[in-house]
Amino acid sequence: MNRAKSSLALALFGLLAASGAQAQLVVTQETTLKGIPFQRVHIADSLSQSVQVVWRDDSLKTDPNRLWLRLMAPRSIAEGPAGTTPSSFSETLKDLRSEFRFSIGNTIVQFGAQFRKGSEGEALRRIATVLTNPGLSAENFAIAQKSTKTSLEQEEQNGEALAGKLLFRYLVRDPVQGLALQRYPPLALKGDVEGIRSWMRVRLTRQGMVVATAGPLSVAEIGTALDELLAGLPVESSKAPSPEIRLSPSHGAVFLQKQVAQTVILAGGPGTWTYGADDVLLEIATASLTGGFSSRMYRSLREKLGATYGVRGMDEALSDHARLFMIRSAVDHNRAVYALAGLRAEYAKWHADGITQEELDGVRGQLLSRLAERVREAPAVAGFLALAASNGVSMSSLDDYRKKIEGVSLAEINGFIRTKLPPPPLAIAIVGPSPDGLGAACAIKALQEVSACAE
Amino acid sequence: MHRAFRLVILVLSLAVAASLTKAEINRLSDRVIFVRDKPGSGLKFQMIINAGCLDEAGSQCRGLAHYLEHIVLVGRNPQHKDAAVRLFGDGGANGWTSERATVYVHSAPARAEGPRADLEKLFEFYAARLRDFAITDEDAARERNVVLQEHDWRVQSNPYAILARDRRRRLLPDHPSGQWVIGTREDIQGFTVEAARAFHRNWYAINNAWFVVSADAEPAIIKEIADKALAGLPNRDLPHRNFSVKPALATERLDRETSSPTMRRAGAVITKVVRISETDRDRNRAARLILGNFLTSQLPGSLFEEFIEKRKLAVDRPFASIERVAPETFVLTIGLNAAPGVEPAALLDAVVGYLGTLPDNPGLSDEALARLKRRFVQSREDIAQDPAREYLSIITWLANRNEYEKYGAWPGVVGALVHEDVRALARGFAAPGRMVTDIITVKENTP
Repeated sequence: MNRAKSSLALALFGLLAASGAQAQLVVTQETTLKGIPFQRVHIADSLSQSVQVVWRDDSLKTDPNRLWLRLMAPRSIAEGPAGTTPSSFSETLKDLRSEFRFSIGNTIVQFGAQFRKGSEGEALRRIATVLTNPGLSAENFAIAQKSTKTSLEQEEQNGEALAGKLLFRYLVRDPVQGLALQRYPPLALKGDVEGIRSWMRVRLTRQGMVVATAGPLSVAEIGTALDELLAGLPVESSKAPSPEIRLSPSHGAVFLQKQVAQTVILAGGPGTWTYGADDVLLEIATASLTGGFSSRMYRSLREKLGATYGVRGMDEALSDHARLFMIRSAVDHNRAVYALAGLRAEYAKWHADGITQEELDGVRGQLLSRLAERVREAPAVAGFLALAASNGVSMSSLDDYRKKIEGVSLAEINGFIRTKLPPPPLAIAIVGPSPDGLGAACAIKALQEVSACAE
Repeated sequence: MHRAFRLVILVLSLAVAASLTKAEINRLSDRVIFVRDKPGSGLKFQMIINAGCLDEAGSQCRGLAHYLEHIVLVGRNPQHKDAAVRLFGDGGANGWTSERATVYVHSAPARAEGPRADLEKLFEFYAARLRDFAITDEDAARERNVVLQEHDWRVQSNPYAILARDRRRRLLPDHPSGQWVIGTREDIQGFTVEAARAFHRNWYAINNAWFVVSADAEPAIIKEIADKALAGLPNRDLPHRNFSVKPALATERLDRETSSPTMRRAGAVITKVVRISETDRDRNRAARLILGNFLTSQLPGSLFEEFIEKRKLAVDRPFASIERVAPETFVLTIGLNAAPGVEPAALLDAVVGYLGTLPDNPGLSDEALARLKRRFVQSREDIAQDPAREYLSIITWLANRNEYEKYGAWPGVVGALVHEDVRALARGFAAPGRMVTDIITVKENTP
């Protein structure tokens, strides 16, 4: 244990020393000639320049009349601008060694563009039209809608996906929100391309847009690029109100009977952490519980019981104000009873006692190692900055955040676990062939019967 | 989404601090490769055993190589107090097994004193593992059930995966390439430590292993540590490779239609094994790369352009792969999800027709091939400037049992490919062979 502590301290020193020579790598706040504010990290020798844009929208996940937007808009927008085919657009960008990505998460909408210095003019002209003049073929949309509905139906055949839907329905008692949260397949058939166009006009706007860049372009060059990319967007935004989500404080267990390959156990409950401010603590807490071969759940469920291949800890924002902390494991039917007991006991102990200094040091080192690999390129840097800013975290230097990591104390992390993560016992959703011995207060045979399980 | 982005937080300074220069590759000895990483980078270490499930006894790929990977990583040996997956409390560890290789993966954070102590531990541990391994009966039995759970999670939970495994066996019923690396439930339940030990004795030899290391350190330090740890490990005669046996190949077509309440996505899959002469294996490999990239692209004449964009017969992204499963023996697989309202049987017919005319596909033009070659060469140039990507690229190359000496020349081989090389390969796949197909139909009233 002493050696581990010592090694970690030295490791952190080594990292600091490494970055110390790069003190010029600061985050600067800039504004383009056309008035678009953005954060910039200059990486002179990066091969590519990255632009990442984030808008907030937490209204799609729990609204059955708008879920289709979340499902369909990324797919339709990815087909590219009007006046070209999806294939031609895609292959031209590949030739330019450029790409763009558009995604909708639980609470954010994200657009990313990546391009080579020297080809930014042509690449950006093409990518910009994706936002300002998307193709949105009605014919392709209709096909994609039906295909998406099929994908959601297929999802319902998977034990892990079903357990997620079951827990959402169990904890979010509003049946309308529950329908969206369970990704009820017919909801994919709502909407049309005009709906996407309307949503883009009011949501993908300059107002409320957070922009971050990383790469080799100078301030003037990236400013010109951003004006090419984003200045044509509408100015005014209109955001649907954040949904009010009432989470049940249930501690019970609900069981869905289905012939699946493994019994899936999903435990969860509402948390009170703040994205942005609490990110580091949440990451350390989750890793210590489920993050790898040294984690509590790995040792308990896999190494001690041999009941599972893996355990996963997850946090999920249902809206800007409601979030769930969950632990999921697909386990051997024959060991499900022991696995459930082990999961409950381990969580209760972890929540009450917290983690040890050795665990904190280990997790910290693992995160440093792993994340170093994930952030070797400009897109990850820009993406991080954009997301952090959208969560209210601003940085004048990239070192700010690292120092925060290094400063996490045992008292701080254990206080976080105790006060911000759900207290035991967690609510449990189980999908499997037999409820015997699992102690579920409510056993159902179809997802829609979950309303009968209200406490 | 939030969580994914939080993952990038911790070491931004380090990442951005790194400067992009040409990756420096050092072959430190016969079996040790070192890629010098950027200042401040952590240690990365992989041991590649050039033996995977194709090398299992009796020409049966049953998953034993994979089971051995598990027990090496969780067993307790004199070189360590805890399982190998926890050699470093603040590091990472894992393993993976393929048809051709078993690979052990470790990482440790950058340390002010350098990676010497971590490397000594790793080389000492794996030098000992080339000699033997230890596992208790209890741990071995538990890990067998863990592997079974891995199988159920990866395969048994996915009806399309079960179908694909069965399709593969129908295609190659008498060759280990017709089996999957993880094995079947029945195979896994029959694993014994003795069988794993026999596999270990056959293949875990220094002359069948590679050590690939990356760190911010002087090559001489790595060499000193590796030489000391690996000294005295004897070269061994390796058994005959099952891979070298060509499977029997009758020209026939086996069709199957499947419908199941657990399969809601209709589609068609065609897989075909053919014999193609390979007078120049390197060019053949390059042609496979380029033809595969064409099939999975969105260029004119590609599967996407043809079936999704133009003919509206399919949706989502097509699947296509080309594999060399034995000398002069190649498998092409194409899978497509049927568009709504399209009969999977009609889609299958269209794919069979597409394959039959592949050599004459106008999309396989000089211009298209030049585009694909240029992209590959450019991507290689990018990799060569990033030690982290170069490190992984070398590992992939070696784990596929390619000759290290040919690694540097590979982009040149691809660049020198001519139109006829690709056409010849396409002709091979269009020619008679053994074809196994699946169509998956969905009954609308299925609950």
